Amino acid sequence: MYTNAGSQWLQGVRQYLPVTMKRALQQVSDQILCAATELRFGTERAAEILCGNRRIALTAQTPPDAPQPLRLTPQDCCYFFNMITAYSPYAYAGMLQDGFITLPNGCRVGIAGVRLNQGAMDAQACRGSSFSVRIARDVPGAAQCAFPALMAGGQLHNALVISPPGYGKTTFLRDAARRLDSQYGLRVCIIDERMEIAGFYDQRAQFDLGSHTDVVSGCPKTEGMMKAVRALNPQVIITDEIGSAADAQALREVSRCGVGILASAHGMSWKDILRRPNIAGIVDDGIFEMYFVLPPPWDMVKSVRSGLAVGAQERAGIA
Amino acid sequence: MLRWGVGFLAFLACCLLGYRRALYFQRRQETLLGACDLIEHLERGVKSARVTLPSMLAEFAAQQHNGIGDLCAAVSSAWDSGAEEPLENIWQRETEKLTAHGLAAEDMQLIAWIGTQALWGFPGEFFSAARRAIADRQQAARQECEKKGRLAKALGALCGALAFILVI
Repeated sequence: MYTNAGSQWLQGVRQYLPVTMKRALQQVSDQILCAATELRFGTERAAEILCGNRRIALTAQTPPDAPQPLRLTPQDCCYFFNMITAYSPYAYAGMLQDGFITLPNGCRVGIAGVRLNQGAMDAQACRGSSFSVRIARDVPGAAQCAFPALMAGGQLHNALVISPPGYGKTTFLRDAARRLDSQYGLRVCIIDERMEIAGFYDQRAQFDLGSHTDVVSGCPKTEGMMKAVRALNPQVIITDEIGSAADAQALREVSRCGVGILASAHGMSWKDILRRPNIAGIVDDGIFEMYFVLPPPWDMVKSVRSGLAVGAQERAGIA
Repeated sequence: MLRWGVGFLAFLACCLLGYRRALYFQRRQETLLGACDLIEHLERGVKSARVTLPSMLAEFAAQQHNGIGDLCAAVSSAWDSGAEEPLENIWQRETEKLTAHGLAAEDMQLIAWIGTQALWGFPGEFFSAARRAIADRQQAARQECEKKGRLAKALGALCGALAFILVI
């Protein structure tokens, strides 16, 4: 089981990186690596580490008095692509069509660049592309502040977690799944379409999601939710990044079956959510009983201290 | 009597050299046949989409004990050992060693191209193009084997006869 605590994530990523990048990362302090949320690089563009909203440029090995930003060559990008796909893009065609590859340690590599027929990619197409390695971390306690509201009255209330990308929605859902399973003894089923929550690799989840949690991975959310309700007898369904009309319809069906729902959606605020017609529709249907708007992770430490890490806002209170 | 014996031995040696040269051309055919098998093996693996390329190469190396098998073994073991060098470079380097298997420069260029394309994700109509190219090389190899092989055997026998005459 990989937790990617601290700078451990680098151990799982380093083996895929080109030599220039490995050398550049050796110069980065452990403090930065521990706080890193993303590693971004691409052909002829400056490679950088994101630590929340801070961008730290990686420097090439040059004389110390004249550090140059590290820029990867097309060959380096080709090498990285070949390494993460084990020289076998045909075996990852499904993920590549969706624009990402999940690494064995659960980190997700987003791939930009020109797509070939039917959205496929190969090493040559990748020579001019860029990559974003999102560092997946298991953060026990990420959803702790939400639980008094989420489980008020001893039962789960359907909830929607709202935040922009990179604010920790998936980490929140991961921790919530673990707690619902281990603390509250609920039968949890995760519908993990993009293989991000569980980080499924080599037929097993890379994160601790509770010992009894079922994971339906790599399956479209709509299909996965209905299959789970019919076949897995869940008490709670957890899913990430809802937004399409089909997702909304599936959530309506699931809620009518008496199964609890914990979902997430992209948005900066409650207003953003209401501007998305499919989600606004299910909000109007009253499927969710509460909404959590996550603050930026770089504000998390401050917010946790003041007890506002996750603002549980009942819809009645917001409207 | 001794002269006759030495002459006969010289005759035998020349014939053997000729035969060995003929076998050299045959080895080229066998190596190209191995390349053809490799293409089929890779195509099956890609269709199943379950096996990675290094695993396919390792499987092939375990089945075939010829020049192509050795090439695949070298590349797959480089992958297993976590070599930092791109596998394309390793493939190119190992291909050059195939001269010992009777391959002509064009054959090695073709095998290098096959490896590179496979390692780049089998772009475009790779399999049909590779199969066509291999078939052309096999045809050339067959013709060479027939002509030069026969010639090598005949020359071997002729030289042997000359050596025999000279000795006695």
